[in-house]
Amino acid sequence: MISIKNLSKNYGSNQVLKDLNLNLERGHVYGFVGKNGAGKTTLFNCIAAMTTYDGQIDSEFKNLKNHIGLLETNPIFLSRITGWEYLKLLCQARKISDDDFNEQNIFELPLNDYVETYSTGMKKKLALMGILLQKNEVFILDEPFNGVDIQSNILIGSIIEELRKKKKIVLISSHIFSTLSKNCDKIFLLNEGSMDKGVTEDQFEALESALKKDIVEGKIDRLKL
Amino acid sequence: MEYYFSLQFIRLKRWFKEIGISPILGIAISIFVFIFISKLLFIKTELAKWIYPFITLSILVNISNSQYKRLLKIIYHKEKLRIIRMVENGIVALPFLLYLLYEKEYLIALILWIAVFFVALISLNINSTKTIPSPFSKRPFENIIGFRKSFILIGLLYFILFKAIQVDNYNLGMFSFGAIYLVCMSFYLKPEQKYFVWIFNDNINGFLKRKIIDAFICSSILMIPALIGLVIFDHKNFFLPIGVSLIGLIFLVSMIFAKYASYPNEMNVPQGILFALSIWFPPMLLIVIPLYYKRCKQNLASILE
Repeated sequence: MISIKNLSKNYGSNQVLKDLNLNLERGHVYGFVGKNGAGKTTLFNCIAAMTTYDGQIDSEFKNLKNHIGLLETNPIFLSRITGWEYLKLLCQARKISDDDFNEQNIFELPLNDYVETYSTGMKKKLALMGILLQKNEVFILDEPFNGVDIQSNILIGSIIEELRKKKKIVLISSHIFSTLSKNCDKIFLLNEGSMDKGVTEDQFEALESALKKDIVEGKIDRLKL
Repeated sequence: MEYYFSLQFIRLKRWFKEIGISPILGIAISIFVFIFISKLLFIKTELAKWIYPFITLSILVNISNSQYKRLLKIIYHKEKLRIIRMVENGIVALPFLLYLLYEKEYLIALILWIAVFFVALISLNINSTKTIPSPFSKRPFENIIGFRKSFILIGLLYFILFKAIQVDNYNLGMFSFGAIYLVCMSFYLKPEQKYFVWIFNDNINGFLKRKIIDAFICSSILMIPALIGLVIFDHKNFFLPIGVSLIGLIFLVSMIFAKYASYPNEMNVPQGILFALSIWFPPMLLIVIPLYYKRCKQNLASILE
């Protein structure tokens, strides 16, 4: 379990996260929606201890960051490293000695090629495969469905389902609401650094309608099509 | 084309500002340090006149393969690109050429001048997508990247070493040996993105220990054939390459500490000067290593613990 209390984050005078409180439990998949700049990625970075923050993040783990698999929106790669070597690096970093990745290569990536030759979707799949091989307990997936082909999107959905069954904690952000409503147990709406209590499956439809209304209302008319 | 060079100058000025000194002072310090090191090098070894063209051409080959050259290819016409590369190579090589002329090494300066423009005309396709095999696949990080970026240079240094053994020139052999060590150290110059430190589930000491072990293993793989060659070549002086190897390993440790002492930024000027001084006067490492280590702990604490 992860418990977040009074979490705030400022960049100078700009408050990006405002006093957030949240409990994340094992075996649950949590979705986070919000406009660009609403604070989703900052929240993820705080949980992963990639940045400093005010407030408290407690967990069942001694050092939470060592149990987190972080999939960034645009995963970073080192130059002149092959896919296989990238996976090896991620495993070694967590003291996992595996190095036969052929069986786990479910996305059929060309692991002997340099990562810089991969397409955007292939890079994302490689980064996802890396954090899965690390055998993490918590998964933070920032836009996991972005830039990935439809077949892989289906596969990613099944992976998330399997992680839920294995009692992992999964956090997902996405700009495509349907990907969240299909995969999440609870969805939180972030708005200018604040967050609501979150809605469960039975309220997803209402949340989507409210979001649509808020985003679209009046704007299309302004285009004077 | 003029805009390209003015942009490069702006980038240089910004780089000086990033490392914490004013551009004018930075340029003045660079000129002073260059003259100081050159003087020292030419006093200390007769090989300096050969080391200079070697350094110049290494820099040029390196920049001709950088990523932004790809961008230039997209922006500029072939002819214009050639002129840009010639002017750029000329600017980079100028200090070395001027110093060679000052030392009255006219022939070497002329050969270098021709080589500088020749490098601008040829297109080295080192950034090919073909995977370059590396002996460090099991330890994929700085060494594997560094090796793939410098394999031509390493090959060249091994060739010089082989030739030195063939023509009975022990000093030249030792120079190549030391230069391979410097190449290994250069793998640790650039700081990696924070993510690649964050992923490690070690404490600071464990993380640094891993880095040092990796560096020892990988540099040994590169150095041992050269070491064996030199020991067999002049077994009476066997202690010299072994001694250089041991000092090299200590420098490698200090290089790793220096990298993380400035992390996540690149090594700044005072740290660079301190490191250069310790190469010139190795006992300084006794002060430098603990100092860097203390800074490493401060910088890595927020990421790893």
